[in-house]
Amino acid sequence: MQRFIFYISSLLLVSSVLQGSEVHQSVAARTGAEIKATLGARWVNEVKYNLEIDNFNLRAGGLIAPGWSLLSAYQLEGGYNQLFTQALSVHLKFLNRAYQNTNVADNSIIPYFSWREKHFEADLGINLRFTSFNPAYTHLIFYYPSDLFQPHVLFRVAGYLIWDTFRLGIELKNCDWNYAGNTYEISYHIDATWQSDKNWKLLANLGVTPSGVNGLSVIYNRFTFVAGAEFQF
Amino acid sequence: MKNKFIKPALVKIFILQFILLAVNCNMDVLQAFYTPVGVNERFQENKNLGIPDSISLTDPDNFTFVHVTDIHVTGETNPYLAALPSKLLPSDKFIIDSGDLTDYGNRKDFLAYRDMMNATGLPWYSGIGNHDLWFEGWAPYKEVLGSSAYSVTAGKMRIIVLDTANDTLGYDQYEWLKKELAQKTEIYCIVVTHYNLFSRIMLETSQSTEMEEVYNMMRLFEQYRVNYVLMGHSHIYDYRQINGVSYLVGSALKVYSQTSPEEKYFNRITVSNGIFTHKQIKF
Repeated sequence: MQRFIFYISSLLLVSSVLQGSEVHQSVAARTGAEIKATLGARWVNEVKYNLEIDNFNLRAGGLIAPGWSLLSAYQLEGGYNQLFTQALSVHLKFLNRAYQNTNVADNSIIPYFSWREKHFEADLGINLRFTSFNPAYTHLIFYYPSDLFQPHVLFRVAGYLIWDTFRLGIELKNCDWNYAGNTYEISYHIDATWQSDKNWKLLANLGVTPSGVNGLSVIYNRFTFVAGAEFQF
Repeated sequence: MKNKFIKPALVKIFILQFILLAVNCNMDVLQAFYTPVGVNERFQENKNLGIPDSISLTDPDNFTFVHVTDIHVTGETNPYLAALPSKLLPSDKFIIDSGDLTDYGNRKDFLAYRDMMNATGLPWYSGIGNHDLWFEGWAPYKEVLGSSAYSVTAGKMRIIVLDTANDTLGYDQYEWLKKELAQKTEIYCIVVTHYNLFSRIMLETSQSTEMEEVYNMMRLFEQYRVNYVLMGHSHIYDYRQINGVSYLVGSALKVYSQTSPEEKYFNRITVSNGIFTHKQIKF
């Protein structure tokens, strides 16, 4: 399936360039730390590739996080921009997250809508998560076992202040580049980006995730900090 | 001009409605942002608090016990808990309660809860829930009931009661759980947690949020052959068996909850020559 998507996207890219379509690409990478108060700390390394051909959108990404236990993740996503209006887009994302010490893997199917404006962004979708406890299938992104199925609402809301090339914002979300959480797993983030020139953008994100939100018994038990760069071409 | 007025006004109305709803429902809204005594602090305090006694059983391979949850004692009473003695069988040897003993964490309700549980005439083991922490409920909880996380034995069964009132174990309790499971010599094991580990439906407000922590707990339960994990919090019955471990969420005995008075149940778990089964019993 992954090969099929790779071949199709390559074909689309080549044919679009030949036909004179508008093509935008970007590659982003981030590195940083994730600290879980109960379990331990990890060094997080993430990459994301984005391809836009006219209104069509293809994304692929991955994560490798060594530390108290190795975590790996990868994702494939397709989307359509400017649905009815300039700001609205629709996406379908496939995400695999594998936890090495427990041999547990989460495979999510995530249909979602995005709304993008200059000072405001929002995502809303459904995280259909299938959990596998079988080590033989840990890294198979299109494997949907019946061991444990949990549907969750996925969301991200962000507001930004912009000074010329610098953007500073606050995010509330239960998802990230390579993460799709539970409905009430609300994280608070400060997000900063600096467009240093036409092609390069510097990124930084600081986040804290409480537990017990849905029971009004909150303590803060997960902290993340990642920073990196994006190259647009 | 119109938008500039409407948007801030809508935000203010939303915040006001949230506060009014929260106050009207007697919710401890401040704990949406911070719990004064978190799970790590409680676990440290537990070392100086009392725990219930272990018990011996005349036939430790054949007996029954009762699981109740989310009783939410309010106004110093709960009709279902008060009626529990009339529902007990001679084979019932003890009672397990997986938390939310009171609605607002006040001392009088904890005392009433303790008296009603004592009136059953059976040994009982209760865990702490998020509601028990509301309005600084930890102080009366520890005074009346003692430790929030402990491990006891009932014949050949190890009973491990966890403190998940903050929806996480915390580092110290997690290490303690690993040690307790690794060192247990009993052939049967029950783990009690207030927060339900899985969510059944998309907008269920009750669910564990840190799934990696849940997966680590599940692998421990599987490795050390835990028979049943008894849970609450969601108020709705749920049962599933994963890798040989039974995960059971009890129906709430709270008077005003999602379930009607005709739908109040407790669970009776039967141990028969090492085979565990359970049944919902109607009040």
